[in-house]
Amino acid sequence: MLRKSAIILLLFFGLLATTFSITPVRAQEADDSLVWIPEELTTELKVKVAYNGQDILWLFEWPAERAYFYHDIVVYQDGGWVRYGASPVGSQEFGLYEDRLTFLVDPGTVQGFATQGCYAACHDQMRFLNDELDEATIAAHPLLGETMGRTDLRKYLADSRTGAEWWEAPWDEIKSPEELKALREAGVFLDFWHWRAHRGNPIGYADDQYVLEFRNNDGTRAAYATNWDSDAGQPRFMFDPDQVGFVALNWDRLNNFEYTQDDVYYLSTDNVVPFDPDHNWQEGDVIPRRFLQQPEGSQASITADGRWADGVWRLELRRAMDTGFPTTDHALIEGRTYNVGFAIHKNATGSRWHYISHPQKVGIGIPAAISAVRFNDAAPDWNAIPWTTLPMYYPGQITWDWLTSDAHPGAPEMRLDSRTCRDCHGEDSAAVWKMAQAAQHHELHEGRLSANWWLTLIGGFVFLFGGTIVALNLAKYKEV
Amino acid sequence: MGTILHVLLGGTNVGILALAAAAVTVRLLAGKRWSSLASGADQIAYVATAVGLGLAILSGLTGFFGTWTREAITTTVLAQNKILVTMALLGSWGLFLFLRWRVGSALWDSPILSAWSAILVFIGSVNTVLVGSMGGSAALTGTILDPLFLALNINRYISLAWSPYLTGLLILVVIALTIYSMRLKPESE
Repeated sequence: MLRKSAIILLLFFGLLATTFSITPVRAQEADDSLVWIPEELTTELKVKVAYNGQDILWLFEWPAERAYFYHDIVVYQDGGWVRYGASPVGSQEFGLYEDRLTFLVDPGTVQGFATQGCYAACHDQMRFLNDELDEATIAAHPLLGETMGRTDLRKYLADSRTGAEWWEAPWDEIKSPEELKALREAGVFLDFWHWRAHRGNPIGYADDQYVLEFRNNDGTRAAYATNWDSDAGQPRFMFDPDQVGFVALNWDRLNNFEYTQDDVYYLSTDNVVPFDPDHNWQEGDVIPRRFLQQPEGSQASITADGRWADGVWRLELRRAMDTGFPTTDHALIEGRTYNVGFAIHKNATGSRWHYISHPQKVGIGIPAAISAVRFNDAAPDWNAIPWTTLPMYYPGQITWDWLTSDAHPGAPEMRLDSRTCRDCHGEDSAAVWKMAQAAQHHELHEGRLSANWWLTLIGGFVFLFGGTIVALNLAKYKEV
Repeated sequence: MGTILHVLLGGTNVGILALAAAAVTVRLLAGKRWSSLASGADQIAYVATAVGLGLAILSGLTGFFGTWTREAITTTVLAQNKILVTMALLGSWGLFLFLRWRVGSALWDSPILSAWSAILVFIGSVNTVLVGSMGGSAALTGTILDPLFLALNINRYISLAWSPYLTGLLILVVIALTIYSMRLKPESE
């Protein structure tokens, strides 16, 4: 009898194993070199908004054990300049990647953003995802590569692609320039507010960008440029010793985070002179590889004041409610509501290693999840405005394409654009922690059953079946 | 349609298996003092386990083939966990049914077999509750156990698999015990 039971059990296992083995799973051969998961899966962001009819101001606070405002440097080592702080996988090991706060604004024109928020801009094959495209493939694309000179894939919207269904967003099937222009004129883009602790904050600016077929700059001159002469293999500028008392920062001091926000740790038009290759450079001299400059046009729309103290970043952003650039900025109008998705980068991370919020409704002078409060003086009385606290979570490698695919149980509602993330998953800190845990698991296993799952299944059955055999044998022994 | 059938079958099998668990408890407590109560509880436990297990198998099949897409079931962690716990449910209740069928009502006369039956029914009951609760999570309705899972820091959206060291040790111990018990000879032989 026991033998028969064992055979039935084996058949059952065989059937189960066959079922799973013939089921297609995604990215079986994933490159896990891009897998990196922060220890802290969730955090929070506090928000206040105020406006006076002319300008709109945002105040943010978020916890950060340490502030990271050093960014992308070259160090003089063994007679040459060595780069540290390129966009890293996860945390930059020397802390050489700046903290950031970003948010996307939609006036209701971008399909899917009100329900799925930032996921509307996050797609398979983007940079730093396991299935990221290689540079040569992007460079060969007629628009992204040959026209725009891009070598990686960044944020874009399904609206900019020619998929058969509205949610389908193949990376390479981009609408024509005329169609994209028409979309922008119709307001179909996300206004991207992009504050960086190094590339802009020291001179009082946040970057101003927009997302449609790519993450584009609003104008032609950002608040920063690259301080590197590729032909000469050396920086273009160094610190002006007459202005700041030195020509370079010091690697040891940088490593010990001794330069504070009140010190000179960045290059800008006010404190530089052309690089002198004949200077007596010393081992460990450091020159920032980024150079801060006055931004121009639409890209100069957002001013910023970010300070870190006692474990908290406090940031104030200010912009005209209507910048006068309707194809790159959304005017924020009193009495209307906007969909906004927030993100923060901390712990010296870049690219996709951020924390995001669910999409929020921001009402300008009207009740909403976040209500902008009108003020009449030169500056708002922030103490009179209550904080809205948003749970933020690490989204892993979840993309718009996965959310709208058959692999996501909520896909039918996503395709109908009828349910938000919070409708299914909740919004409090416990709910977003669960989402972050699920995203972490997805990033690690990409849907594959782990060996541990099988081991547990087999172990469980060995315990149950073996225990039964033992009980039967012992009972026989005792009772005879 | 598949989802409705799955929910109906799932709810029914949970109820009937709960009845089986209650009957086993009564049988264990009744002992030899209340023989008619013990006999009735034994019969109820036997029949309810058979019916509940059959419905659980049907519920599993409708859940696997009639609710989410195959890709969602095999790649989302919640569904993977639900399958794992369902296997434990079917295994433990199935083995109890097998023992009762093979040994008959004399099962309860053996302290070892009745103790092991109690363990199987307990494991089966816990897994029955877990499967139902995970179904609530999958249907996004939440369950009354959610506060308990939160308090215990149990997240059903990540793999609930045991530590491989624990599993490996468990397998070794059980195999060793099994071999030992099979080598035992009754004293009379």
